[in-house]
Amino acid sequence: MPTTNYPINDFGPVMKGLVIGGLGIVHVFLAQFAIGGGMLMCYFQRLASTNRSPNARQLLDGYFKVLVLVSFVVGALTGVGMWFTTIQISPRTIGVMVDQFHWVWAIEWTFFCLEVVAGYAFYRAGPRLGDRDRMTLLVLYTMAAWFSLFWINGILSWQLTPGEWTRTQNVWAGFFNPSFWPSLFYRTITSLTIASLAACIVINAMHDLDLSARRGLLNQAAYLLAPMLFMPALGVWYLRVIPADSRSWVLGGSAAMTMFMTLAIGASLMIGLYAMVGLIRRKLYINGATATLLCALAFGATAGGEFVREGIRKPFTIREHLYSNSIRPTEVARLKKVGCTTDDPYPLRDPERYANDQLRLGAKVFRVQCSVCHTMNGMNGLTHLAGTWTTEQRRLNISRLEHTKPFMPPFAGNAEELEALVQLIEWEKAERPKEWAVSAEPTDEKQEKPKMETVPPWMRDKSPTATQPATGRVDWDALRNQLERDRERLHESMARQLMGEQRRNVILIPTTHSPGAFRLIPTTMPWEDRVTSKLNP
Amino acid sequence: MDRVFPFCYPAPTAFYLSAYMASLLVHLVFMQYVLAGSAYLVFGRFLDRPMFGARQRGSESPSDDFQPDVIHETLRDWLPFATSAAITAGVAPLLFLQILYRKSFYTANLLLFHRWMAIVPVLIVGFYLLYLLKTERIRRGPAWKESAIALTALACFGFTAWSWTENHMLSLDAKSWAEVYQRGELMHHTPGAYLRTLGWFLSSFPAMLLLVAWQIHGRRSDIATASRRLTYKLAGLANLMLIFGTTVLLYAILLKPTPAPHESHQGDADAYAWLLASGMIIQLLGWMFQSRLDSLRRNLLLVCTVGQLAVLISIVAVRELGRVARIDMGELSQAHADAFRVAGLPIFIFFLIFNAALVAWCIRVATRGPRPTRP
Repeated sequence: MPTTNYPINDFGPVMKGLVIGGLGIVHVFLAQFAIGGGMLMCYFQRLASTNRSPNARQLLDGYFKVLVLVSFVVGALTGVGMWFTTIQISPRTIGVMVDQFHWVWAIEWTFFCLEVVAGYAFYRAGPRLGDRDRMTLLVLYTMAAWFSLFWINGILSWQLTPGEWTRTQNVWAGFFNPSFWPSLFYRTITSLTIASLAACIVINAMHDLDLSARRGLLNQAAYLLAPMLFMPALGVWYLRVIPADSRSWVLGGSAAMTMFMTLAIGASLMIGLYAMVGLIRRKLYINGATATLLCALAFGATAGGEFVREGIRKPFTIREHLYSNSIRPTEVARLKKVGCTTDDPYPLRDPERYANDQLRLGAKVFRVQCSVCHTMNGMNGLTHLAGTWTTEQRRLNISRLEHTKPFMPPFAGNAEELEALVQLIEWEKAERPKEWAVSAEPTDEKQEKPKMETVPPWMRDKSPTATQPATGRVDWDALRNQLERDRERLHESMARQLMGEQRRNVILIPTTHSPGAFRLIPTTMPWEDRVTSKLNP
Repeated sequence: MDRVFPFCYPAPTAFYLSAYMASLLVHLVFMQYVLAGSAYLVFGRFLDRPMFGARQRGSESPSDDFQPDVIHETLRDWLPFATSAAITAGVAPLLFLQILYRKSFYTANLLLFHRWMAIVPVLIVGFYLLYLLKTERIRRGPAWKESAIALTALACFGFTAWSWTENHMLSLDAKSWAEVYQRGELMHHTPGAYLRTLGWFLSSFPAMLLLVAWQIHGRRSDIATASRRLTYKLAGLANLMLIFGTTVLLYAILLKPTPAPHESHQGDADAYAWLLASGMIIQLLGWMFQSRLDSLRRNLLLVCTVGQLAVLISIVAVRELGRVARIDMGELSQAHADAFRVAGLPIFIFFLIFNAALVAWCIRVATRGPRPTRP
């Protein structure tokens, strides 16, 4: 079945992931502020109605104005922006999500409507309402906000741990997936933390209150930071239920993931320590600047956490179902035969920029397979990542990409496309010279014949029947057969490797910096699952 | 194929089409309130009437000398909420749109790229400007300042409306996609898109004025409900814009900028055209009788509401008929059937009713007077 082809945009030197990540982090932070804000306001409304805090009502009205102005405007619109950005980055991913979970999204929308109505009702009528009615509106607002998190959390956690959905395609099996509960509880506590820190800023802006009144409110707001004590346990729970390979990346397997994870933990730890020791135990006064700094740290922790959550899904956007470049695992075999650019109806925007047709083909391959996560020369650029490799290394490493780097999807193109991509990287690395020889068999007879030395030695050595050394012409069918045989041999050797893994209860992961070397990652994943995931990625 | 559009399609397709059109209708009501309302605010301050005896009082601030136009005041007060409601209500049709016409919608999004995504920051700016208009400083400041802010907000919402129209037009023009992509165009200029945007803009006024009339009528103690001048203004403007706006919009929709290779539903188009004409006549008559009275009458407002609903339903249906004639629905019906088999519909219906009841409760709590707090 042909894949649906969409036009692919070039974001210039900026990595596409950064665009969606940047917007996503702002949206998540504001959405969690709205959820936690509701809980905080219910708490203060309770204090006000039981006369335990004379200034609670004043804080509530001021706080709610901030919430409406920030969360109802920027929070809501960045939510819509997330859909548009996701379409820009990966229309197939959002398509699958909408297909599977449109009723869940529709349910979330009903809660979103309730949240907006309850919020505006309190905003407009709150100051003139009695305590009971105020509490009613606030409880409804909070319930709606938290349930919108409940529903969206199921969809987001499904992307990393689809659980039984992979086998049964059952929506509820996917929704209540292994990471659903730890993720939901963790986000709830994060929401409370953000709301409490935002309250500290708002309280400091209430200049009509004296210092002792502000201190009283600050101490009360700080109690909502106490649930942070549960964060480490929830973090461990989350790490235990995510796939072993994803876990291995945040535990040292990927420097970037480990670093961002450490940043998120470090920032949370600092906030938690300050809250427990300074604000709750010693009841220190926290001024506006410190509160803002803690809020910024919370933003940093959210950013780190979201980056890790997105990053550890690699090479998938939907685990076991869709690779990050929008190719399904089940499509790889077909695309290796027919090519990934064959069905692509969209021409290049600047074909004259390239020195020959092979490079033009390479540019299309780059567009389809690489551009979602990589640029050519900018952020996460291919010329930086593969620029120091030799030509043979590029061919081998890209053709077996999922083994070169475990968080990369397999190269899903034919041999001609592989060679075109290799040549494109080489040409870009050479700073785009005007003349560039075609390395493989040209399709047009008028074009320059390839030289023998440009045909890769690994192709010549491994498929003597496929090539004609005198001309350097390549028999692509024979070469494809040879590649298939190589693949089978590779599978056999991997199976042997896995037998060893089973005995030692570890996973061997090839290191990227020293070819041939492996790292041992402890695992509890069943042996059969490991074989299946490695042989049929 | 005897049944009327959209029920002439297989059940899943008909279901999603109906859900899309119904949710779009709700979104349209709020969208029209925001679009026409922000346009009204540009001139609203100039419609304020000099207050009797203001000169003799010798008040210092110019705004003290004027009695505010009640439409202007209502709009200024409610536009931020209406914008929030329009955005929230817009999420549902956006969801069904993706199920119905995924490829064409996503492709148009992708082709317009940054230009399309620009609607998000532009809407944020427009939204904040509406809050700015509510501040005391702007209310009491010079009229030109308020008009300038309202004009900027209108430009933001107008840009969003034009972007949606442009996106819709491009999504129907599949043959041009590869060419548009290669040229790297971030705009899809077609005369039809401009005309449609103008049509949407003009036809937004009747819906906005009707909603404002209901709001004013709801405030029973308001002296404005007993103003002949007010009813005359509401009715005159609504009828004028109803005729011009609907005509321009209908003309733009029927322009057929791209060929329609698929099944046409001429019979259905005729039926909806009759509904449109009926709705227009009902509404025109309702407003005409209203303009002769000194106060807003509930029954006449109900008549106008029925007419406006008929107009909106037919516009949405005619717009959709234009789309299905350009997209192969047969090809998509399998995808719709697959989506329909996914679990969750009964739970959605339960929460839709449950949360609608809670929304009604919220409104009741907020609108009733304060109750004594328990000791």
